[in-house]
Amino acid sequence: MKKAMRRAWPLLLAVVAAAAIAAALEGLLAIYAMHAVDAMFQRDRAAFNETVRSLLLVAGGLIPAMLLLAACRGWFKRRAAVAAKVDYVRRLFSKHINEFQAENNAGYVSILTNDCNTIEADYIDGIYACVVGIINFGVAVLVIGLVSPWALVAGVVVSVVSAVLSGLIAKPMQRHQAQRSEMYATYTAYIKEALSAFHIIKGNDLTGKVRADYRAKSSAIQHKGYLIDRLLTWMISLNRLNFVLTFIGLMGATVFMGLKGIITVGGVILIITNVERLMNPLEKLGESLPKIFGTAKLFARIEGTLQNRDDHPETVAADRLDGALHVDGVSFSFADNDVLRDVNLRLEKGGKYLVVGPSGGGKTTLLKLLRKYYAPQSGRLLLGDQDLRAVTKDSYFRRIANVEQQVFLFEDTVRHNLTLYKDYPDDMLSMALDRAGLREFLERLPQGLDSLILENGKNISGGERSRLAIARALLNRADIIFLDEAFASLDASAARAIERTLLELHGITVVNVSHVSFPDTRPLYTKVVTVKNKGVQVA
Amino acid sequence: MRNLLLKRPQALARYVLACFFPVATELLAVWGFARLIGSIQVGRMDYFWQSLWLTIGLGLLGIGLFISSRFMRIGFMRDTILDVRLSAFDKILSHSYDTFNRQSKEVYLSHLINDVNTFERDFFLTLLNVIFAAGRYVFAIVIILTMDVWFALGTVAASLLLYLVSARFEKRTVRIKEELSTNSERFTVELANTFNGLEILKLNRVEGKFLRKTLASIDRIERKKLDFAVFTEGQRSLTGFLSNLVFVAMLVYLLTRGFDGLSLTLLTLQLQLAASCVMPVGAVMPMFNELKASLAIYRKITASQPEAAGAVRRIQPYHFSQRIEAQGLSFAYADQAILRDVNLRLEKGRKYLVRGASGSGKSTLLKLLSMVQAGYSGALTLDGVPYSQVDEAGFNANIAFIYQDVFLFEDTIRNNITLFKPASDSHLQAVAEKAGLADLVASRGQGLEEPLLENGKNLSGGQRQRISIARAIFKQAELLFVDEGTASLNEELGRAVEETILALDSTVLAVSHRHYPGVTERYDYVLELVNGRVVQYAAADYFEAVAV
Repeated sequence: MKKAMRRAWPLLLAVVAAAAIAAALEGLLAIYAMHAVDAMFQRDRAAFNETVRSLLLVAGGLIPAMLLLAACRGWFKRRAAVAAKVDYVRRLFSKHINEFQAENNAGYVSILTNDCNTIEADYIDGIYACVVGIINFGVAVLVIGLVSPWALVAGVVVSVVSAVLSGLIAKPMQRHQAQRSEMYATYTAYIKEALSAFHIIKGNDLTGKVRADYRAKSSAIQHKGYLIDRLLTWMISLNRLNFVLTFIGLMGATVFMGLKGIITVGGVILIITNVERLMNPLEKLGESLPKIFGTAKLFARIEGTLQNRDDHPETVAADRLDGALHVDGVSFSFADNDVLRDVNLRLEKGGKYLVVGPSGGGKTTLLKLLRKYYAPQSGRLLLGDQDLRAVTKDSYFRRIANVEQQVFLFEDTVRHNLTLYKDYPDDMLSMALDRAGLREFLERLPQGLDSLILENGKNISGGERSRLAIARALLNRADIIFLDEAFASLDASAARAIERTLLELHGITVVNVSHVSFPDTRPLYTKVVTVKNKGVQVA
Repeated sequence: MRNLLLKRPQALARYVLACFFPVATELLAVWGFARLIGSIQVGRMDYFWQSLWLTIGLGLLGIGLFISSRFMRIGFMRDTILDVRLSAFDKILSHSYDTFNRQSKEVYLSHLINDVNTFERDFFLTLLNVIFAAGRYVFAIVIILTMDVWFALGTVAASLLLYLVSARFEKRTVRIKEELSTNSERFTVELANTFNGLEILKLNRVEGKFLRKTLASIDRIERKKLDFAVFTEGQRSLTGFLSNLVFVAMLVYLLTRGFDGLSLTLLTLQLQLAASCVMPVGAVMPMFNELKASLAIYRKITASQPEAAGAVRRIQPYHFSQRIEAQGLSFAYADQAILRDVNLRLEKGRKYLVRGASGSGKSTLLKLLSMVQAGYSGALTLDGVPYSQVDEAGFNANIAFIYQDVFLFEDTIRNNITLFKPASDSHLQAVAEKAGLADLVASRGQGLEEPLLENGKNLSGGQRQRISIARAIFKQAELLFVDEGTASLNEELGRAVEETILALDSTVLAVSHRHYPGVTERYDYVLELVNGRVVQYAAADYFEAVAV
């Protein structure tokens, strides 16, 4: 991600140029102001008038310079932010499905929104602030050095001391902030729970208890904030004390030099008004650098979400799945938790298999293995005599179709939801619709296939969703259809009708994973596979 | 808002007073600074040292004032924000099921987290800054007036001019900002949708299309951000330029006065007051807007909703001894009729099984009868009393749900079953047994006292469902609503739980696809939903004639 952001570096050069011009003009302004003051003290009207003219001229030149800097900054930020996000999304899309799903989707969204905002604020803006700060600092050094090298040395020393001190002071604050943000995380989790339990709270008269819990938790959060505020008061005071003593000290020294005639009155005013230009960039650097370095952890975490742990090379493309799918001595476990142990199973081409078993018995894991979401830890999956591990995902997915209990719908037309943006002849579409029992549903829709499915499929019932997924699978002309509790939200008669359709498909392997089975369709299956106690029995 | 602040009048007075401390600090610092610079012109060393010590003294005084100002403010802030949190929460808790369900949970969550945090971050900070900027402005002008009337008037005019210039930009800034925030909201939703479907997208090899779509949205949103950044920066540059120009003009004017003998001290003092106290008043405008925005947030999250016009007061106590009756009950969801002219009667103590094709309105019927959903037409009565008049709390206290989604507290198994009501161990064990939880309880080291992790992370789907069943059994509610209550259980367990439900004294209304031969037939009646209408069968007839 960081590497991708290098594409924005050329624009950073533009920022450097614009910032240099703006800073130089501001420096000139300060110098002319000094001359004007000195002219006044020397009672030299002519020189004064001339200086004022230059002063106004420079001030006029400042506006285009500032606008240019603003534009460069915007371009730089845009290029960098786009590069970062595009890189992330691209790589995220190329992650393996199982590894993608191992983490919560909200996490990815949060990286692209919250974390990218942090990167923008801390890293991109941080780099910008550093670059501009260094340039402003350089100009301030030149301007002050012009008047008095001694004042310059004193100014730099004071600024460095002040920046270092405020850096040190920030440390304990960060610890407190981290504690508070942890508190916020649990607080948020609590509120989420309470909100989801609304009907339970109301229905069981728990309002009083929840209110008291909430009060206690909120109060703890506010109190922590209060403690931080208190600490912050002392920290800021220390910082101010440091500032008061060093700044006034420097001012005193400059005025002293003015009194002794070492520098002119204009020079004194110039130094005093420009010391801030020395201090500000250093302070900014002190703020930005820890932030820039702080993003290293964030970048590492983001990279972590993109890693594919399994990187077995896939070299073989499967054109047609002609042979049997053979599960050969396969074992699989999540961490220490064995799910399948030494499973042997042979799914013949065109066979119809019903996979049943208790919840938590390993049905879903077996299905995911068959779908090539992950590779077994021991044993092999063979497609014909080809190890499935070496088959490319793209070619395998082209040959399989999947129907889930949770059907994913796009906010698009019914047609696109069916075809998934591929072209099919109308008669094929029509046949798939009939077989999936969607005809009646379509007739109810005002615009038929071109009706829109609303956000999250609000205008389509659970059963209709399942049928849509089944129609998708039929359209796909796949060699294997995997059903994962596909009938769970259908009523019995509809489920059986569709099940029959699927079982009559010639030459297509059907693997139906389900916790319910109907006595009358059961005999239509080639085999019934029972998955339980980490193994399978075939009957 | 006024009530919130005036709840602690003394603390509020202290707070406002404390907001003026920084004004004093600033004015004193300006005076010290001018005197120190002026000492060059005076040219006496003793005057210089005196001025230097004075400036240091004023700086230290400023720190003292800062500390006391903070301590006078932060306690008040803490207590006030806590009040905001509590009233926002109370507002949510005061909803009825029906009004609560009108918005998604995320909206409430965002009220309680994001909005409160924004309010906390912005409100007091802007309030302080507004008071500070306004106080500084007034005092600085009064001081300049005593020294040079024309300069004072000129400064005021210049500051007003700058103010008007930035005010002109303000509206557009707010508009772009709003656009930006709606855009990023849309982007977030789009992302979440795509990620939820990524498995399907990949399985069907259409992820490329969605990748391009996502990248295009990123580009679009970043372009909007660029527009906004350049616009605001440009505006800042322009106002910055104008104030620079004004500063130069003031400098030139004062220097000209210097030719006429204005002392360096007074010159510096006036320049400083004008430049750093009067001119920044332009910055107050956005602060006012922020303050307004904070107040809007406060109103949004705490204002109680006005009762719908013509709402009937719920004055009738809950009483259920005979029947629930629906007459001509109809319900539509977004123009789509779901229930049409439904007539049914639930006799107390009977068990009803609701069947029907998917999408036929089974869940809707359950929601209407359990008072979770309103907005129906027709009549719905409990022992003859219209639902809309029945006391909701009393009703809720006597009903129980077994739903597919179970909410679990981060607490012990015991408290998750009893929902914090007292219960004897033996009774609870019996309940756990009936709900098929005995194995789970026995397998955990601490039995009933075993804590559940956040939202039951350490439980399987079936176990979670059994907890919800145990809750319902424990509550001994008069009315039990079951929606696919055994769907995540295996055959054997599902059958056992179904038997338990049928053996309860409660009136049961259950939606289920599952059929347990020999058990399911023991329901009293089957309500079949066809085309939005309900047909009632005696269970015995239904299972014999209509078949499964």
